[in-house]
Amino acid sequence: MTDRLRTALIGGGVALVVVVLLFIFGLQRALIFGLVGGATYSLVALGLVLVYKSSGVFNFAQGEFGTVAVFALFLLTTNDVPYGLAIIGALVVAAVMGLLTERLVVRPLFDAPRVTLLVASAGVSLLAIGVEIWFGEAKLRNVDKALPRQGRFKIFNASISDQELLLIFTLIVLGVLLALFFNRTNLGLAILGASQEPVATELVGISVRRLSSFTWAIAALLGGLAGVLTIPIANSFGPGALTAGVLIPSFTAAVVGGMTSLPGAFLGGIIVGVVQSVAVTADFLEDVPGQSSLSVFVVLVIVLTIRPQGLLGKSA
Amino acid sequence: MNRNARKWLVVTFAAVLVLAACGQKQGVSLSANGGGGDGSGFSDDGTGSDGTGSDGTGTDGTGTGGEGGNGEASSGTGGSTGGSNGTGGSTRTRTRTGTGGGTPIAGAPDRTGIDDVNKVIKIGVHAPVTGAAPIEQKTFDKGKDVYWQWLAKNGGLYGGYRVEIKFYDDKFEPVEARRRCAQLVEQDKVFLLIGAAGADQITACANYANSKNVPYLSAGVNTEGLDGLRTYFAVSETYAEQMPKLAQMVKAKIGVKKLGLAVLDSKSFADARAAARKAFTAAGFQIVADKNVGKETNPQSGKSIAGDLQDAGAEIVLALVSPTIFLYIANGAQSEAYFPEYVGPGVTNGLNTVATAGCPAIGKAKFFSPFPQLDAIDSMDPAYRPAYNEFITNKDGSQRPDDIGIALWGLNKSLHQMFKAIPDVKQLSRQSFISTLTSGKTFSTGVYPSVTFSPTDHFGADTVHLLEADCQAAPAQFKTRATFAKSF
Repeated sequence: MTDRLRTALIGGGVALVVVVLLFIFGLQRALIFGLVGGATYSLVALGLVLVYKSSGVFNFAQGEFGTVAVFALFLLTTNDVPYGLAIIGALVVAAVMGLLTERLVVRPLFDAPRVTLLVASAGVSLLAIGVEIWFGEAKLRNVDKALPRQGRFKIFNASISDQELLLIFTLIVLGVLLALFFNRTNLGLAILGASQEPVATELVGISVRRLSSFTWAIAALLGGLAGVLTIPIANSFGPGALTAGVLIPSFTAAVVGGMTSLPGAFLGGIIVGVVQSVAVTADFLEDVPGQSSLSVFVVLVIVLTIRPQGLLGKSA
Repeated sequence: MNRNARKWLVVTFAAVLVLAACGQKQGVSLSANGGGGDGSGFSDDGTGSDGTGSDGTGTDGTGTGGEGGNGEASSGTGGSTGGSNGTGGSTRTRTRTGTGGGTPIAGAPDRTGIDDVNKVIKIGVHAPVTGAAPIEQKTFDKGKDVYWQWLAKNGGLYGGYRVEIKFYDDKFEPVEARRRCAQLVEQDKVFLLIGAAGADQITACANYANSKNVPYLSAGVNTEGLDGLRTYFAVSETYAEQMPKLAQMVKAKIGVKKLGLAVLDSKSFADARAAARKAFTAAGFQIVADKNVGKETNPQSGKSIAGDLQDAGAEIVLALVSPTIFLYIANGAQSEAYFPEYVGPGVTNGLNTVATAGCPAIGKAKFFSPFPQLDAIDSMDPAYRPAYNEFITNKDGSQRPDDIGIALWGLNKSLHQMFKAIPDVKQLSRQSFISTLTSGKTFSTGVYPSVTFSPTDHFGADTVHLLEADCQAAPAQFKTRATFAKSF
């Protein structure tokens, strides 16, 4: 039995035990809520992992790619642009923001220590929030759902809306596509190569800087998708919406799953979502202050203690 | 993952933990000041004795808690106990531990913030323009000066003194609020401070103001952490004080049904939670859920909280959370086809921005408020709308009279009443201001509840306004259903 198979079996067994325990304690509804909520974290975590895989940067601007996209969606829909076109417009805005971030912030700091880029990405996030407040006021706004129907069906007494189904479907498709992209395409392999051996990559004629632009645009697109798919579920949003509510759980998801693994980002998001949901629902955690964050932190510590590279991450 | 990657992982998580720790709202230091003794005395030294008030024995509508004792001291220790709750009454059931004690403001009259040459009185205000209880900065900036502009045109203050307001965004963070208040006091040299909203921020700032002997006014939020401060004054009822009325209101307007509590996980709200449990249980409600709602709640966990309330069978949800979190819960509930009646005390949950963003999920949410809504202000204070139109709308056609303007108008009007109680500006100082407030005078504005403070009671209001969401209106908004209500 290979190590990989053994790990998968152990992971699957642990997950099964957790699910059974949740059913025994009557927390199956929290499980469904967590799976749906975790899909949001997974989507944001995918973008985080993508940037990390390609450039080794922890991108604190990932949340703002999503929030800016939602602002664009709001502006377009309130100006009577058809919803489908508005979504495309919002994603274009996100991608342009990603390209601008790469061109104006990342590229000038390309050879700087990675921690400098980390701080710079946080700066981009703060700047974006400032601009959102400047233009849009710090007030709450409504944004329509792509698919408005609520309660399409129920699983264990938890309603699933069409928008949530769309989110989950998009996440699965993106997960598969990105995994194929990085494993089966020359461009994907070039990005991986550039992240591990930039000098060697340049020597074989691949422009690392151009790859960087491409990666940031795709990451921003993923952030934009996270925004336009998940924020309408919550109905209202304000400046910094994704950064304030989703970025930190998504970072946790990426680390739990493994910063180098796209399937890991998917898995990590689901784990963080379920843990949060169970923590705010379980009676035995009722009186624990900050039970949601605390539970996620405990899971993170356990995972990093057992597998420092994350559940599906690879150690060098 | 190589060593470098692990190193950056550690760095990132350190950063993440620091950010997460921000959510714990550090900086909310609950005061350990001795309560009970009267802190308004100006004697040289001494020891404040314990308050010795007895239990109140209120009857309907007139219950009063026992008063804390008077221990006049300047450098001694304040008394520790005051009278306990009034019982049986429908109002005034606050825990009236005496306030102050310890070290009242001594020495020469402190006239910081009063410029007699240019005839300016400087006031500092902090509010959450960004964060979990966003107040629109544009409307706040516009609205904060309207009352003083109107007053200048109608007789002015002290024969021509102008009130200058310095405002900072506290970002809904206690640490930031405290920093901003320090800036207002030490750098901007304001005469007094006003906290517009946010219990933790108000608590943090009020404690700072108390340490600097600076008067501090806010709408009523919590008692814990504020009770015992010499310089703090609540111009409306605290959340805890509102609970008996809230129980009456729910019983009268909705009926006795199963109740779920969704209360922000903060020490500041412990008194309100306890008061809610007591008041609603006494009124015959069955509390089927009591959720500690974390400050880190996002749309995902908001839905889980709503699901939990639904599972518990809560037909009424008492929401004592920030507007953003309230909307997360209400929208999460809506997605589960769960439509409880939302009720609550509060300052900001009855703002129209909540109805605009929350309808139809919030249904006919009913919240208490220290100020009325736009539908009632004209009859309560006919000067507000014309003044707003004259000084704001005529210069900025996009800016209409709004509820934040009403809140600021009322607050400034309260302040004007307090200034007026000191007839000569030469007598105005931080000490005389506090002495005047605690003199037993009643300050009425027709907008905010009338307040009467005493040396032992800095929580001086006993009425509320009731606001109800109207999701059928275009745009969705809150309507005023009762004004200056003492009982329901």
